[in-house]
Amino acid sequence: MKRKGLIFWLGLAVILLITLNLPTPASRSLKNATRDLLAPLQELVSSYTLRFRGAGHAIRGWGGLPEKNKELQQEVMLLRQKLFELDELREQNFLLRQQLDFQQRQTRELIACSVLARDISGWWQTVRIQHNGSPLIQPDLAVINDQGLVGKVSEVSARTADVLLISDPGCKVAVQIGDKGTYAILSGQGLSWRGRVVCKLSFINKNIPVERGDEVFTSGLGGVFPKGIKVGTLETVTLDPNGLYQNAEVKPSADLSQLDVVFLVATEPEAGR
Amino acid sequence: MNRLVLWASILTCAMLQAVLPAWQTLGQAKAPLLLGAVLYYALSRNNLQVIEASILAGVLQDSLGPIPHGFSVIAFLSVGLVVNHYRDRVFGEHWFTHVMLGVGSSVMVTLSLYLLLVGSGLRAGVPFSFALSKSLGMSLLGVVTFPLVYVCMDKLDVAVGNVNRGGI
Repeated sequence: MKRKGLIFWLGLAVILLITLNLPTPASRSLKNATRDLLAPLQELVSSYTLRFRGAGHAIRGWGGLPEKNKELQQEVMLLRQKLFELDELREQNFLLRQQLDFQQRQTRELIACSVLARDISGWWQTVRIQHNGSPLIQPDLAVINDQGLVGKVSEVSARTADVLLISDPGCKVAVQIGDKGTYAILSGQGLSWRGRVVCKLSFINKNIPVERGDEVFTSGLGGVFPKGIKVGTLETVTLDPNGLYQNAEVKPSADLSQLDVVFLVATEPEAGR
Repeated sequence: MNRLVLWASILTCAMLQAVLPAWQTLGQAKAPLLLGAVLYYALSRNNLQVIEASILAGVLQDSLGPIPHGFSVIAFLSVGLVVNHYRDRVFGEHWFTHVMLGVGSSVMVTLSLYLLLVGSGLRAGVPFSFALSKSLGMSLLGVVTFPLVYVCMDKLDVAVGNVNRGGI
């Protein structure tokens, strides 16, 4: 009887050791298979939670609907005007590029994906999204929404992908501060005690004055995030204890706690226009 | 039927845990539904079923997130087996036991995962204060979650005939 017990515990220990030391490809395959298998179920649960949330928002916002409608109409007008100006600029730009014999070798494609769930354990700042199986979806693609930068793709399976949010300490973004001509590195700091998303900006040139309210955009350096995506605005600026550069806290422009739909910025190689 | 209920209930707990919002102010704590299911089996079944439930819950938690395989299995197994070992010495069906277990096991699982993640270098930059606040959040959620999970799973087991009143 004691021998049987010993064999049982030894067997369990061996299973645990094998699980812990699974080679990366095997572990990834197991994870992807589980995720894909559970994706339809997650989609179902997620759609119901969205409906509940939508009903909640409708009830809470009942009183302010006319005001909200007016605000949105004004915003649409402004955006139309901007779009018109941008169309004109694009045309001019295209003509100039043509004259300079510039060949645009890459086009960017936005792939819309719905958010299925957040990290189940809460140790990472990630969301799981469902995609259409496009071959363009690869790790390290930038993820944005209508408000700004959201994060980057960390893992891809046949039907789902994990997005590492910019609030995660593992996500680093090369950015530039408005029109100040200075660059910095943005890294996530998780959440504050009040549940506020905190991102830190490091290595800002100390000789260039930056202040609260300055806008932060991706710089395009590093190759992961395309240039010019809005990241957030500066909250507080401090001089580093060593006195060599400035640090700042950034409030992300995208509301990372309310993500329903995001866009993957995919790059498609294409011949020149 | 016993195994079917075990798998179905743990899958449901995993789905719900993934979708439920995290408690942002307390270390992004999530309602520990999977842990609740493991504790239910630890209090009401033999150690073989506890191991099965712990491994399944652990593999699901690790597969549905960035945690490497095996970390959650270790955490769930250790808690499940300890509770199962002492289950005859506690009032296993009393709500107060469930509340206390919800608190204690949530803290134990959170801290053991913290040690594993920091020790392996995957979350090296995460401060201990984050783990503490997460433990607090998890234990507060555990107080509510575990008694609820226990009642639901017990009712399900009784309904399908896995459990008779007074015995298994």
